[in-house]
Amino acid sequence: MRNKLIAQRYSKAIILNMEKRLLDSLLEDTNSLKTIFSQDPSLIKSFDSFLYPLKKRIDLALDVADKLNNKNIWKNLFRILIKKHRFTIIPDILIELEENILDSRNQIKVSLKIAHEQTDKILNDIAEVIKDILKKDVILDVKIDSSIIGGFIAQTNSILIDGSIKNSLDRLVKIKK
Amino acid sequence: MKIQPDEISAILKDKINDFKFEFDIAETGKVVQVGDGIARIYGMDNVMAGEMIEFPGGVVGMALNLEEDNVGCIIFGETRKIKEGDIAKRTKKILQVPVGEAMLGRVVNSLGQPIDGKGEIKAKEYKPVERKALGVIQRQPVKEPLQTGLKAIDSMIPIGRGQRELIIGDRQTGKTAIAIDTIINQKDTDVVCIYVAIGQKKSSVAKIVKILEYHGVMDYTIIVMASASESASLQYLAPYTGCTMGEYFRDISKHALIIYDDLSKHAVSYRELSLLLRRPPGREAYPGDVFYLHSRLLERASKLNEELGGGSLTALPIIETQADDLTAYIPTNVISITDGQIFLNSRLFYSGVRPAINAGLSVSRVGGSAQIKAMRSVIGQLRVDLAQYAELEAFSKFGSELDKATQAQLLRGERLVEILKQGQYQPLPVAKQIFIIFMANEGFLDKIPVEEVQKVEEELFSTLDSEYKEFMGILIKDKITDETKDAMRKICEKVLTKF
Repeated sequence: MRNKLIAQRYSKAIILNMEKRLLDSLLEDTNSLKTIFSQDPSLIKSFDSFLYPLKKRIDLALDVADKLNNKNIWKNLFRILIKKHRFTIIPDILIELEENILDSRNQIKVSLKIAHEQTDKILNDIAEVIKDILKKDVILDVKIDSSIIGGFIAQTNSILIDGSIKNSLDRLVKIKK
Repeated sequence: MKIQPDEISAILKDKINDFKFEFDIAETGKVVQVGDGIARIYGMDNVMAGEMIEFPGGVVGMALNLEEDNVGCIIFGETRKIKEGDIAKRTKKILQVPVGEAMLGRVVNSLGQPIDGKGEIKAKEYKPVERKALGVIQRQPVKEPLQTGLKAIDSMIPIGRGQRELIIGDRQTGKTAIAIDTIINQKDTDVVCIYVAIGQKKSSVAKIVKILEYHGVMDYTIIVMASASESASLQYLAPYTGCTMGEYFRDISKHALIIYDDLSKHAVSYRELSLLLRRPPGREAYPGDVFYLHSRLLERASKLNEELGGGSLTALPIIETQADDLTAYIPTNVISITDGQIFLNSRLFYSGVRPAINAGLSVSRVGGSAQIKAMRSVIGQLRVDLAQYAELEAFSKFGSELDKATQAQLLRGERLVEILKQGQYQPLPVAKQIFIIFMANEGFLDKIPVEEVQKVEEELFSTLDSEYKEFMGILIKDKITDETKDAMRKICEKVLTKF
């Protein structure tokens, strides 16, 4: 939880120092890094480990940053995090960055649970419904969960939209009680 | 009449056509920590202080700490059902409990749910547990008496409807007994009683329920119980729940009496919660707002003005002291909030003076104006006499020779102490209280040996019951005139002829 708060601060600092036109490339970098670190979580530990000399770790991180669009920003961030022995919070910073960038574009990532595979048309319809409620463009992350029977459950960081058959039945049971 | 399958299908089809698909939209947060009756939730940016939070498995909590990055929440239920990472939902409602006539005669928990096995409570109304106390304009001074049925209290420390009178003393000094006697004495009056048991043994509460049922007073009583085995959060909530139930009756122009048994344990449960929520500890590790904890609760006791119906909520909080120490943190706090205190002394209790009220340290700051005129005209110097007796008694133990005046004071004092003794669960009508106090104050008992005083009292009461019922009815109506006093003297003399 504390990491989350620190990550929010780092993310805010990065966004404030970025030109708006560069936000798209920053999002691209963020997604690339998320993929790298999720594929090999031990990489994060290595960057934070005292087993390797500090200079070596920084050099390695700078090499990674060199491959990204916004080199300078990432280089500075990696250097600070490694020096402060805080590299483990990089996944939180990436999540916060993604959210903030999407927010600046009036977009939101929504985790959508549906009972069965649906056509693109239906998914688009659902996205429209959610957009009406959240007043933001929706980026769907679809998961299949047959336990909800039908309908959908959409979850953002702070809002839950439950339009599932399971919930309707639960409500019916409550009313009958 | 037979129903055709086609008809059933048609009805079902209609129902399906009418079905409105609704979304449940809730603001949520993620549980990041849970345990010891509290949970920390990440997210929920717009949550209100005191708002109900819904956890998976139907568990309910209340948001108490709104911090920069998380919400500290107390849980009213089993924390085992909640896991880290669970989604907690906002309800956008401040915690509410059922109120109303349907609650009478029931034993409920801190959430107003029945725990007496008598089935569901069909309450029509719900009210928030935390309500702001009424302002100055809505109130009026205490003016009607709330009779406890105890001679020592009704005469020396009178309680008015809408007053807050603290009952304070060590363990096993009869604090709860006074509260129970007061409830019993409300039989056949218009006062509804609420007994809030905080951190007590379930067996003790069961005993109280039995006593109240035995005396036929459970019908106008509500018991709110948060026993010692319940979580600190439920113990913290119990008095506010009881108060909300009492306020309902006050607001519909009725009179209610609420007993908080006891606020020491309430403060301890709040300390536990505060420490778990990582609020900074202060004196004796209590949080800084422990005064506000009790002041906001006790301020809700009030006497409404006539425009609002003139209802009242009288509060009798109980505080347990350690070794008669009135200067401890919580006792001094509650003493300063209340309109007086009844101090029970363990030395008096073990020397057989029951109720063990210390007349010198007990006081009622506003009840005097609510005391009935008849009582006021007979008590005279009762409190002063008793206080002087207590001092002289200590001197007399040195064995030095005493002058006549001192001896007379001691003699009178002994008898006054004797007449103020009273058995448990035997509240006395106010007219009888007036009569026996009059008898002692006028010196009728001075020649009676101390051991005989109880017998004289019994004889007096039986004479009054059998021969002077009408006179007793008139007695409490107004101030006692000289003629009435003469008549009372004659009755006293008549009783004493038998001794």
